[in-house]
Amino acid sequence: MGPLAVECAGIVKAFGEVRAVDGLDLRVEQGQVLVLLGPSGCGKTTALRLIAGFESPDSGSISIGGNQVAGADVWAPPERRKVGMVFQDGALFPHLTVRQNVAYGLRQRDGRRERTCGALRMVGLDGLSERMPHELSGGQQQRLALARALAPGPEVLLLDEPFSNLDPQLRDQVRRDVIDLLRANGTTAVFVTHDQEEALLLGDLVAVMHDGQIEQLGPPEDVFHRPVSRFIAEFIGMADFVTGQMNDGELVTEIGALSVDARLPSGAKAEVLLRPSDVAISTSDEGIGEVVGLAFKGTHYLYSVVLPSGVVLHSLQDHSAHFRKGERVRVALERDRTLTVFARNGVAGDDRLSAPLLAHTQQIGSPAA
Amino acid sequence: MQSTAVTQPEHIAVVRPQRRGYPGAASRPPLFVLLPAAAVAVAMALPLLYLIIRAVDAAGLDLLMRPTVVETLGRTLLLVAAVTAASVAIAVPLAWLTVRTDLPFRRFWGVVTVLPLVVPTHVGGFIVVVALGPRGMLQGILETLFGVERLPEIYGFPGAMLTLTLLSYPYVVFPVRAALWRIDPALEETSQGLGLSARTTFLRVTLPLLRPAVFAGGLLVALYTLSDFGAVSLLNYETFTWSIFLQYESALDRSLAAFLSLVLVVVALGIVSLEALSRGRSKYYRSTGGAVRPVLQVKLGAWRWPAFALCASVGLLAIAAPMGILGYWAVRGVLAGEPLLLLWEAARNSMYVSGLAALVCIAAALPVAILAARHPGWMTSVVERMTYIGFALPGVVIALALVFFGANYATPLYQTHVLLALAYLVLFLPAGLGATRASLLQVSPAMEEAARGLGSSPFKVFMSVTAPLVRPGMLAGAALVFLLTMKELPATLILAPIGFDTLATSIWSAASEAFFAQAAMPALFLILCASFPMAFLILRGHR
Repeated sequence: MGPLAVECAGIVKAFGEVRAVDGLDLRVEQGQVLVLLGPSGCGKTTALRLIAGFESPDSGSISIGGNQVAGADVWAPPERRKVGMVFQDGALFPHLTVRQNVAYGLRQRDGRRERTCGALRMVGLDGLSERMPHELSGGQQQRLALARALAPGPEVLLLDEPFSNLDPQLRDQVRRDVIDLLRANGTTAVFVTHDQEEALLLGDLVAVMHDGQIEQLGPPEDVFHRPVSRFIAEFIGMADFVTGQMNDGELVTEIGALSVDARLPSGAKAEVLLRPSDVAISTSDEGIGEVVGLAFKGTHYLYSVVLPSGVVLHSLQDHSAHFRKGERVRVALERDRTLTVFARNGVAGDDRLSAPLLAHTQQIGSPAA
Repeated sequence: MQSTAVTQPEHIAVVRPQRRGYPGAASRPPLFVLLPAAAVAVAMALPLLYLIIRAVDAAGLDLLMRPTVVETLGRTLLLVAAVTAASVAIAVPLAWLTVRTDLPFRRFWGVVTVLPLVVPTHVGGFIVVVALGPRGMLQGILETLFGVERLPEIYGFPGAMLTLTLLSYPYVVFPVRAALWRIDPALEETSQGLGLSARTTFLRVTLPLLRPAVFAGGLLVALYTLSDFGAVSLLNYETFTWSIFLQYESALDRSLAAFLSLVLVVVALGIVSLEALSRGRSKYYRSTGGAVRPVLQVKLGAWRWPAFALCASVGLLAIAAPMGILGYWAVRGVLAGEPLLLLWEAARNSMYVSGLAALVCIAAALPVAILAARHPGWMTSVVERMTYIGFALPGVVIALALVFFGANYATPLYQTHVLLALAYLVLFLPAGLGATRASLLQVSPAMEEAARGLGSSPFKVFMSVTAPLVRPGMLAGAALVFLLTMKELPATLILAPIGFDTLATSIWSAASEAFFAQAAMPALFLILCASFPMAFLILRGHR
C-alpha cells in the first residue's frame, strides 16, 4: 500500500438531530482517485467539506498527507490543509482575469508567474489568460477551476459534483479531459457525485455512501458486479430481483434453477439480483412471461416482462429480435453469468434480508419453461 | 507541466484547544465580523432603551388618556391612512403604465415618476404654502383673472396630505415596478390560455401577484408619513412628531416628550407588524425565479393619450411645478439681495454630514450583512433585529433620545458631530444594509471557500474576494444613505451643534419664519445635491 494522502477515522458530524456523517472511515492512497457516490442527503458532500475543513467533525480524526488536521484538540483551518477544491459552479472569482484566478493561491516566492503559466498550459487555456471568467465557455470555466485548484500543488484535490452543471454532450468531453489530466499528474483526488455512471467511469475506487456511512468501498467493477447490499444493487444500475428457495444446493426460482456456491440450508429463501443484460427472452406461446412495456434506447430495446408472480423483470435486447407488447415470451438467464444472491433470514415468517450475504451462482442447464 | 504530487510537507496542523462537538467551528463568525456587528447592535438599541427608561419615569395611564394625546393619535393615524391609500392609488397605475404598456415615452416617465424622492418634505411643505396658501401664488393669479380672494384652507390636513402623497408615492412605485418585471409571463399566458380575458387576468392573476410589493411599498409610505416632521411642521398639522418637538422646545418636562415618543414607536411597530402579517401569507403568491422572457406588453390603443396625460399631470404636480416655483422665488431672492455666502457654508455642511452618514452606515452595515448572509444563528437574529429598530423610530424620537442621553451621560459628546452621526446610523442603517446584504447574497459562499482552500485566511478572503464583489452594492447603499441624510431634517435640527446649519435646517428656519425668498435658493441647491446620488441609483437600476 502506498503512502496515505487522506485518512479519515470514525468521523461523526451531526447538524442538529441529523447525523449527516456517522462514523466514516476512509483511506485514500497517493495518486488514487476515489469517488464518493450516493443519493442526495447521504452525507457525501458533508464528508468532502469535513476533509476540506469547511466543517469540523464532532468526533473522529482526519489526516492529510500524514499530518493530522482535525481530531481531539487538533484543528487546522482550510487555508492550512493543502487541499484544492473544485465546486459545482466553478466558484471562479468574477472580478479577476483567468490568469489572476490561477495566481490567487500562489505566492510570489513560490514562482507565481511560471506556475500560473504552467497550470494554464496544462488545461489548454494559455491563450485566454487575460479574459474574464464569464467570457469563457462552461467547459473552459471548469478547466480553469481545475487549474486554479491544482496550481498550488495540493496534497489532494476535492471535487464536489464538478460536472453536473454542464450540458450532457460537453460533460463527457470535460470528464475525460479532467480524468486524463489527473492521471497524467498522478494527482490524488476525491470526487463527490450522485451520478453512478460518472462514478464507475472516474474512480480507481468507488465508495458508496448511505445514511452517513460507507456501505461499500471497492473498484468500480466490484461495486457493480458484487454489491454487498440490496441498496447498492438498486442504486448502481438497474436491478430486478426474483425470489427462490434452496433445494439440495440449487436455488429454484420461477425462471429456472441456479447452483449456489455458498452453503445455504435447503428450504432457505433467497433473492437473485438480475441486471437487464442477464435476462434472455424468446418468443414462445408457452412462455411464462408477458411483455408489458418496451423502451427504445437507440442501440437496444429495453423490455419489461411480467412473471406469473407479478414480479417485473427488465431485459436488454439488440435489434435482431423484436417483441410486441402483450406477446408471450419464454424467460431465461443468459448462460455463464455470475449472479449475486441475498439470502433471507431463516426464521419462519421473517422475510427480512439477512446481513448482506454474498453468494455466486452458476447457471445449470436450461430453466424450466 | 508542473509537479503536483510532491510538496514539502510543512507542519500544517495547528494545535488549538477546541470544544468537542461544537457545531460548525469552521463556520463560526470570525472576530473581525462579530465584534463590530455586536457594537452596531448596541448602538442601535441605545436610543430605544434610553427612551423606555425616561418614559417609564413619566409614565402613567392618566398621561395616555389626556385628550391631547388621543387627539394627536387620531390626527396622526388619519394622515397615515390617507397618504398611504392615495400613494397606492397613484403608484400602482403609474408602475403598470411604465412597465407593461406601450405608453408614449415610457422610459422617460419611468424616471420622472420616481423623481419626487429627491425633494425633502419640508421643501414640499414650503412650496405648498407659497403656492396654495392664503395670499399665495395661485390665489394671486386667480385674483387677477377672476377676482378670487380666498382659496380653501391649505394649512392642516389637506396640505399635509397633498404634500406627503406627492413626495412619498414613489416608495410604492419602486417595489411594484420590480414585481411587474419579475412576474413570469407564463402565469398570465396560462390564464389567457384558460380562456380568461386580459382584464380578468389582470384582476385575478397580476394584481394578487403584486400584493406583497404593494404592501411593502405601503409600509414604507406609512412609516415615512408617521415619522414626517418637515411637512407637518410647516403646514401646522399637529401629529406626534410635531407635538413632540413642540414639547421639547417649550416645556421643561422632557419626560412628556419621551412618553409621546414611546407611543409613537408603538404605533410604528404596529404598522410594521401589520405588514409582516400580510407578508406571512404572501410567500404563496410570489412567483418562482426570474422571468427569462421579456414581460408582455399591453397595447393601450385609444387609451394611450389619457395615460400619457395622467403621467404628465403627476410629473407636473410633483416635479415641474415645484421646481418652477422654487426657481421663481430663488430669482426673487437673489434680486432682493439674499446673501449667497451662507448658502455655500450650509451646502458644505450638508455634504459633510451626508458623507459622514454614508461612511458610518456602510462601515456598520458590512459586518452585519456578513453575519446575516453567512452565519445564521440566534446571535445573528438578535443583531439583525436590532438594526431594524431604526426602521420604526422616527428621526424626532431618535434625536430626543440622544439629546437626553448626551446631556445626562455623555456630556463630552453632547453638541458634537458624534451624536449626530450616531443618530444617522440608527436612522439609515437599514437603508444601507439592504443593498449591501443583497449584493453579498449574490456572492456564492463556494467562492469564499475556494479562496480559503487556496491558502487565504478569512480576513484575506474578505479583502481579496468578498469586498471587491460587494463594492457595487455598498456604493448603492452609500448613495441611498447620502440621499436620505441630505433630506433629513428633525435629527439634524435637534442634534447639530449650535451654529451648525445645513441646507435642510436653513430652509426650515427660513420657511417657518415665512422668509420664502430666503428659503428657495438653498432648497434648489439641496434638490440639486440630492439628484446626484439619485441619478446614480436610477442608472444602476436600469443596468
